[in-house]
Amino acid sequence: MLLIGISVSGILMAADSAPAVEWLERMTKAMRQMSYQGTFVYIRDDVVETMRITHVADENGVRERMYSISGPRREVIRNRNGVRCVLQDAGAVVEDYAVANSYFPELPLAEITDSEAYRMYLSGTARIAGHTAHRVSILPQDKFRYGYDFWLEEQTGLLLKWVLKDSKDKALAKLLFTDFSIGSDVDVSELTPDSPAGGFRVLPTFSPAKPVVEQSSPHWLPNLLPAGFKLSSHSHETTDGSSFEHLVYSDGLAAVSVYIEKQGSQIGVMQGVGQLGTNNAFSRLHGNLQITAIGEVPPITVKTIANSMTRSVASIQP
Amino acid sequence: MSKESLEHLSSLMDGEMSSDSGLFLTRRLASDETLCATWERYHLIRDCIRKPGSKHLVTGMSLRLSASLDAEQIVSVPAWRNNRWLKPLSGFAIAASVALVAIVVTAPQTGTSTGAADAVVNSEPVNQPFVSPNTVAITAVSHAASYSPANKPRVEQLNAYLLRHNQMAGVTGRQGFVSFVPIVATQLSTQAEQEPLADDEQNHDSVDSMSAREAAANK
Repeated sequence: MLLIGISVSGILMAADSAPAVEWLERMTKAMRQMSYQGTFVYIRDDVVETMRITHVADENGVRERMYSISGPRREVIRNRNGVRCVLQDAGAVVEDYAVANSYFPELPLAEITDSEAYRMYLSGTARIAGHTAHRVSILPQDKFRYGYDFWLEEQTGLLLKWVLKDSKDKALAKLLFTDFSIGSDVDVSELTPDSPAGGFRVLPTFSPAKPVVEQSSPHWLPNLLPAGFKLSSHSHETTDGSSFEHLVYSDGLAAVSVYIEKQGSQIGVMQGVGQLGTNNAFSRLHGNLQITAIGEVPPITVKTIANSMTRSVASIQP
Repeated sequence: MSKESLEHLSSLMDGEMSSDSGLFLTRRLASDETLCATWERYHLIRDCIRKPGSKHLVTGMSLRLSASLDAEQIVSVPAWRNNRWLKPLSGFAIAASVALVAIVVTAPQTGTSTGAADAVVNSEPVNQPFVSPNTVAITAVSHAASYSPANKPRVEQLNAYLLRHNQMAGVTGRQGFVSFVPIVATQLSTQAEQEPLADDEQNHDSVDSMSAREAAANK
């Protein structure tokens, strides 16, 4: 009887999530391969901001530009060369070069459907920015990751509304398109940046050198991870062994990056909790190394992972 | 609406308002329909000036925002939960699951952590909410990379971290541009010097629930 009960429960859950997974697959494909353009409002805490996005996928590749309409002028431009952010209020430009195999990458949906970290289901339809949209709800099953509501355009699967929720179903942030164009209606000229970057400090983040793919074990490992999180990417500096390392852990939907870098006299010390929008970060010092975990997960998750990072045996053996 | 309010609204749009005043005004925007409608008109005017004849005018934003927020008040209930014929089956399944959890919780705990095999040094006390990741085979591809240190404030460093994170974390591609929205809209808040999380007690509660759930899942 027990086994029958478990089987029935599993079948019900799988049948419940199958349509939601199918919609997520459509969204993933559409967000990468289709051309779209629109104005959206982004609401977090008491802040309401308006932004514009233009995403073009054509014979010239995938190009994207997003910029703020209200408040300080900020924009993010993505193309095959990488990512460029112009932050007018900070008087700075932040750039990062495209990383191999991560440029609009394929996503492991199986990681989500096979885990017990989330529950997914379709939960209705609505009309958003003149389009009919289906709602996909993703509920976290613990307090170590966030949940989502995706409202996806009926014909294409493109994202029209996005809500980030905590484990108690409380909305943390919302994004809602107020006008939306698809395909030939997209004005490609809006890809051209209009931010005056002249005179700004350019803050290079990483070396432009093409990453060398190799198999190796990380020099640092976390002792503790939320269930379902696995190492999905690993970068390290080859010239000095452990002076810089970047690890990415993911459960298939949420992701946490851990950066370990050597503290120099020119680098400001970061310690404690930080927040970038809905992304939480936690930094601590370990000798002359700074360890920072960052991701769109609750603060407790980044703090616990950062605090549990320890040097692996392989890295200290002669 | 007073002239002063209009001036404040204009300052907010131009990014010339202090953060405190801006926060106050955005709170008013959330509750004052007249102010929100004016804010929308300002944007329309600016859009028309910048791009005459645009077909993509933002209209009805305040109404849509209100409708959106109202819609969010509706508690979402999975469709299958409303199927009356499923209730007996669901009840049975839940009962069976509870029985399984009871079995798992009372069963002797066998230490399965092979983390010791990896023998990390400086290991800190292992709390319960998280599991040891070292039982998971590491199959990820490694890249050689380097980092260019520069003198930059924390917000810039976190921005750089987030940029690379969004590129390297494949799952962020699922939501496309959404992962980059916090950089455009970023509002950094930091707490100095290792402040403990405010809800530590709550976290301890979650530790227990996580442990039970993990045990059931592993079983």
